[in-house]
Amino acid sequence: MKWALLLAIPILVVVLSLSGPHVSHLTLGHFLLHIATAVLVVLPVYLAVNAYARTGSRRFLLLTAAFVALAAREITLSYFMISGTTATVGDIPVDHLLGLVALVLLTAAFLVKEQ
Amino acid sequence: MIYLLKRDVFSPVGLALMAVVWAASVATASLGYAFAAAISAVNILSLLVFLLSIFVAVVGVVNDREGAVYFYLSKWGRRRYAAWRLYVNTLYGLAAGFASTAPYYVLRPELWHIAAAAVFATALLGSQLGTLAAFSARGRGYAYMSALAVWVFLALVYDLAVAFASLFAPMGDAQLFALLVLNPFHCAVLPSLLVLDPHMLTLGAAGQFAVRQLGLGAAALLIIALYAIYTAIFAYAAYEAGRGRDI
Repeated sequence: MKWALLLAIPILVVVLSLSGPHVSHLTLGHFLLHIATAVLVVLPVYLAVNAYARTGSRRFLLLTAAFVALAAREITLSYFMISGTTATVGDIPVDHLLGLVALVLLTAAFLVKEQ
Repeated sequence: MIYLLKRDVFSPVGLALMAVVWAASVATASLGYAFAAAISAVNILSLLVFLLSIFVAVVGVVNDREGAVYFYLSKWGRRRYAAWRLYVNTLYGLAAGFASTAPYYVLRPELWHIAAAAVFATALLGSQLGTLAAFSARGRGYAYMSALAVWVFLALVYDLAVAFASLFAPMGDAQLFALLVLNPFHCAVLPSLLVLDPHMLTLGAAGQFAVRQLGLGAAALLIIALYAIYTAIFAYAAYEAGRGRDI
């Protein structure tokens, strides 16, 4: 029933984007884009966690961490965009930092040598 | 592939449904090419071609399962059989859809591309759903019953259910539009209707909302993207059902 899970993704995006009152200052298309990325980013996390559970390798552990950071970045960015708020470290928005963390972890996943 | 296609082309259920769609396409062409007539024609042809493509796909699979499936499986293996069956069902669904609506294109050449787009989209979707229903069912009776249930729900009951639900739980324009695009059958037909009715007047409040909030281009893009996603997922599901189940 993997296909039913896949089918849930577009349904979830449509329902989350259009089911409530449209409170955001964003246009509907922009709003939908941020909902879609926040929902879609869960999929690579799930796949990476599965791959790590199957292999137990350091490379997949780093890849999982990279996707988790990327998911955190996308969800944070979507929240900031939709709510019109932001959180910063110094003058750097948190989502920028999370993007950097994800990139570093992803690079490490490619460079790491398996034992 | 030819083995599979030969068996399908002469299936009585497919031929009977093609005759019905053929007659209906003559009748819809006789309505004329005014706005309401064209909208009605696209809707009626889509409904019937959807049913036709679902059923020819079911017939193809159940005939295999009660006949030569052992031969196909031993010759090709599960993966190749599932892929070929899905491919042939899609091909035959599209061919049957276009052949049976041919009178409409001949009699109303000014609208042929709009009707053909709807026929193509619904036949493609119907083929995937029919194949999925037939591979997932326990036997012939269950396959026909589930295919008919899918058609009745998506093409007929869904809109009635939404209409009744909106009486008891008043919904906003955004919710109505969401319910519209959650139905894969609507996503197949709506792009053709958008060509005929660029302001989405026939969709009422939901259409007004889509045009106002998204604009025509983005609304069309969203609907086509959802249609592509639904169709790809159903195709994958049908392939997995054919490959993984003990058919």
